[in-house]
Amino acid sequence: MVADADDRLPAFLPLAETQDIFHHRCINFGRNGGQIDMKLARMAAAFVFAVSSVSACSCALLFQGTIEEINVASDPPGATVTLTDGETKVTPFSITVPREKDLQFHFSKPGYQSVDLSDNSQVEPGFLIVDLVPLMLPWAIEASAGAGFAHQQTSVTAHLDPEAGVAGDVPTKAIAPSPPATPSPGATTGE
Amino acid sequence: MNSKNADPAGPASAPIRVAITALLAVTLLLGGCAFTTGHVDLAYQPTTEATKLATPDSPHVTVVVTDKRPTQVVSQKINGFGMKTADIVSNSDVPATLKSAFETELNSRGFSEGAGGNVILVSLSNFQNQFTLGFFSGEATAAIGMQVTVKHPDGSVVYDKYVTGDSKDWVEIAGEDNAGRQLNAAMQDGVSKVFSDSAFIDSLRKA
Repeated sequence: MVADADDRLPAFLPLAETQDIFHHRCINFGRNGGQIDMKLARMAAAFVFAVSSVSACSCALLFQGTIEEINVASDPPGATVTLTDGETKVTPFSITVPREKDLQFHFSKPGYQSVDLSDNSQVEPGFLIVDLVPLMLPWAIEASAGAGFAHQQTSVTAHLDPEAGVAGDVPTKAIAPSPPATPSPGATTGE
Repeated sequence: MNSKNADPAGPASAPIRVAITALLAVTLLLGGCAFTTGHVDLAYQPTTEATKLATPDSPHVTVVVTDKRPTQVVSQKINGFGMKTADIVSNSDVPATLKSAFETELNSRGFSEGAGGNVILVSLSNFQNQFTLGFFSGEATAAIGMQVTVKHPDGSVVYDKYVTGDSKDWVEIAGEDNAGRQLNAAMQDGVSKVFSDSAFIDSLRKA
């Protein structure tokens, strides 16, 4: 490195003089052991890139995994919930599901109107952006594993209206897959 | 005239032209698929070898299908990041297709359609396909959910069950063709589950 009187620059210099000094230093940097310094700098940059890549690599997969717990409840409790695969459970309960899987719940209880609720999965943009740094390879891993996704709700609650006094059995959905739907009076969801 | 005057835009124009051409090409390539609404044609494929289950004195049957789905979207395209980019809708009338599926299966089992007999009420609440990403290939999973109720002529409910069906397969392209294939298969699975339920068939034999 060059360390001489030229380092002590005045606060203000004409542009041309500044360029000359900069050029002079660059030349000196290259001549006085600059080759080694450049190699070190490149190695350091590569090391920092590698470390940042590894640290950012698939962090969704590392930190939150591929599954998510969803709490399901109803008002009143004791409703039978049929899941997408036909499995039935009685509220309240919690299920562990793959993060990338859209969920549909069919709530039914004798004497009450049935209710259908959806809890769709979506990409978590934060992880996607982080994975952009090392050339998207981590996102390929996370997306295939389903780690970079999350459900819109981690808690799904259905309000069941009694059948008596209500015209017709009209199941309602609180969350439409697309486009976003306004919650209907017959069903609610919440965090 | 020198060479500088021949190209007034200067040497920087060449990379810009390449960039614009590339941008146009990418726009054209992407515009045709991932960001436009897709359409599927649904058609029910009846199950083979259905045996005659109706007796000569089995009453007539009427099928009524109500569409309780919150959206007409049957699937959504995804891009390479797994983001949902565009809807896929059905060209066919989904409740009509489902009604046709029930009637086809009833006919193949010897039940005759007609008023004044049993009524099969089908309330379709879920009929969707979902694409998910994989490392080398993706997955398409379609599901159907419907409340099936059988009412006798006197109004009594003799069968009431929520039935689900699904279909899943590996796919390379998250497009309409694959969505349609899985949706058709899911409908076939759901309808076949209904007709393989002996309680359902028994409810239709009596009036």
